[in-house]
Amino acid sequence: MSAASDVGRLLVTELRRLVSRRVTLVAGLLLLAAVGLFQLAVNEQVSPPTASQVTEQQRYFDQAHQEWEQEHAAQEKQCLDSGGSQTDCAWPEPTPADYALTASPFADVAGTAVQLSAYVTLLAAFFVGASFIGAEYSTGSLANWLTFVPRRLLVYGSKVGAVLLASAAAAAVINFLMLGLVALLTRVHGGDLVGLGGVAATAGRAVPIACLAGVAGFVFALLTRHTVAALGIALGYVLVSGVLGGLAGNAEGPLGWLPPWLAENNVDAFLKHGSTYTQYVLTTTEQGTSGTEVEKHISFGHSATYWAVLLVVAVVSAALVFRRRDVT
Amino acid sequence: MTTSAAPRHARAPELAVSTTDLRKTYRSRRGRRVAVEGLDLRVPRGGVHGFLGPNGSGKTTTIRMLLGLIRPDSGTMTLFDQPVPERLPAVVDRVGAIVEQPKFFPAFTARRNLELLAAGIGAPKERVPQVLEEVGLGERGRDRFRSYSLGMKQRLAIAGTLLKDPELLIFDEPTNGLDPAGIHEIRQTMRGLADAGRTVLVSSHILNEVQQVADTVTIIGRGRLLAEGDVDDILARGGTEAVRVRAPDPAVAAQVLVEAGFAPEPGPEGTVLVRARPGAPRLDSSAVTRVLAQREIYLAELVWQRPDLEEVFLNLTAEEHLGAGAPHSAPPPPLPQSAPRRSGGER
Repeated sequence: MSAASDVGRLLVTELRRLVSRRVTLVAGLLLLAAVGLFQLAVNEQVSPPTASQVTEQQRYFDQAHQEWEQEHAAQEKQCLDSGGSQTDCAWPEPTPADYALTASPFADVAGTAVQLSAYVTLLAAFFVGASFIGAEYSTGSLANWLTFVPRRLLVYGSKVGAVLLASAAAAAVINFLMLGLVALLTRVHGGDLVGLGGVAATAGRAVPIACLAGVAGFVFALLTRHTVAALGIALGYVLVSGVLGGLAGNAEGPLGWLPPWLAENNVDAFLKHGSTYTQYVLTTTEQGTSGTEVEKHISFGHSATYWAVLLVVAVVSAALVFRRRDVT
Repeated sequence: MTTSAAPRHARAPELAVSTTDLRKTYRSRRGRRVAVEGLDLRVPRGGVHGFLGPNGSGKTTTIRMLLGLIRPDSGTMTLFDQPVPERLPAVVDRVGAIVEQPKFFPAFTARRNLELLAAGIGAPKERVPQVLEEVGLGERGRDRFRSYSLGMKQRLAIAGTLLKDPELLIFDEPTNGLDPAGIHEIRQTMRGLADAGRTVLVSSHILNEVQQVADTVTIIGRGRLLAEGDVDDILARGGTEAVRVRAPDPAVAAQVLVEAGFAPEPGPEGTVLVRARPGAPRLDSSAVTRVLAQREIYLAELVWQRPDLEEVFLNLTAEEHLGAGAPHSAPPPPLPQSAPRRSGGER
């Protein structure tokens, strides 16, 4: 039998095992439930306001406008007198649009919804990928499998391939389902699907991100031989990056270079086709030290390269470990 | 339990398994531990070969190395004359193995587990119910693996190996944790597989248990070969057979036996131990009773005493301890060219 047919057969077998797993089934159902529940919030946002809502919002607007008329001149003068700039001290006049007296634009609602589903799918893919190989180590069935199919790299490739394909399929279904449902609700409420192409592109970019997450979970669990250890690594990263991210807020500090290399910023940049993050620059004058916010950009190309390199490094290093490591 | 038809090979290599100067050392924070030290293993083709030794003697490590699960530090191994692990993919279809406890996915049914295995090795799906039936699990195939008893798990693992219709079956401690009925069943299965023309390599630390079913054995201790060969030859090296007799007056009985050319010894609890006459190949127990009866000494008890593998092993390890300091024990005698095969049930 040719190597190609061996690969295909093993890949199909691993996919069958993956979709037969209870973890996969539960994760899939939870994702579908999350998408369904989120439509309740979407429905709120895309439906035109009711008469009572309009009345209530009008009341809030009137109050705010009245407050502005009475106080804005005095407040702005006080601010300028205390050294504030014209821009900083401006108190813009409230407008009816500020009080959401119209339905939210489709692009905003759908964009938020798809980003949410992208992150939820990412987490699910990570967990399913980790438990897929972690369970094999913990039950010892990997050793059993290797006595039947001893070609380690072939076995490894089929397992990674199964995780990649399953993650891609799940992400495509969940993200485009989310987009489709938001579009449907928007149309039901008479809204226009302005910006549909952009949001669809975001949903499309969420697919490789889910694949990355699935492979990351798989690789961590393979290296540690345990699902929980892989989840621990992910949790540890969240904690460490939270601390380091805070320290990296100072653009000129020792960790000022870090934000473009944090995973979460690159997920964001990949999903949104480029994103921004904020740092501050400290300025010392005679009156003291003040911080000025600066916005920095992470391009899509940067994040794509970042993830491609990490993917290759992770897959190759795990393959080398899997090929050589004793299986007990 | 039944076995499927004889395997597909016609002309066979002399050895199903061989290792030469095989070594494996485990390294951990606590230091190095030599698991296998220069092991030469030869498993003739056909029959049941017992791979014996106490816990921690290197049996499972050797089997894992043969199956490519762990890497040896040095030495060579072959399966059906093919060097492994290099050529393992080429011969793996001829080998079925259960290493330690059966390991399947606990949440899947037995049938699902086997279907996945069958799909992985390209075996037809129709084989799954067949092999389940062969091991007596036909009616429990839809139960989850985790609900199985240990004996059923072992049988499922055997069913898994039969998916390939292998020529060589490797069972690592297959009776661990089984009740007497389960042990009996596994022994019968092994014997049946061997009688169907397959080679069965079974490792165990319970030497007398394997003695009942094995044709040839290898005994190892501390990762080194202690003895190998036909079971009867090994037993013969462990001491001579004897009968223990209980007579009304042991001293008189012993005197009569001496006069008849026997060399009796005092046995336990007032008995007399009688071995074969010097130069005689075997002990004739009827001669013992005849000689005593002719002098009107009638026996209350006559019990055969044969050496067993456990006794042989204890003797061998005692010799090794006495010879400690020597780099290796003397090489064992070679396997007979055509070891006699046992058939027709357990020994």
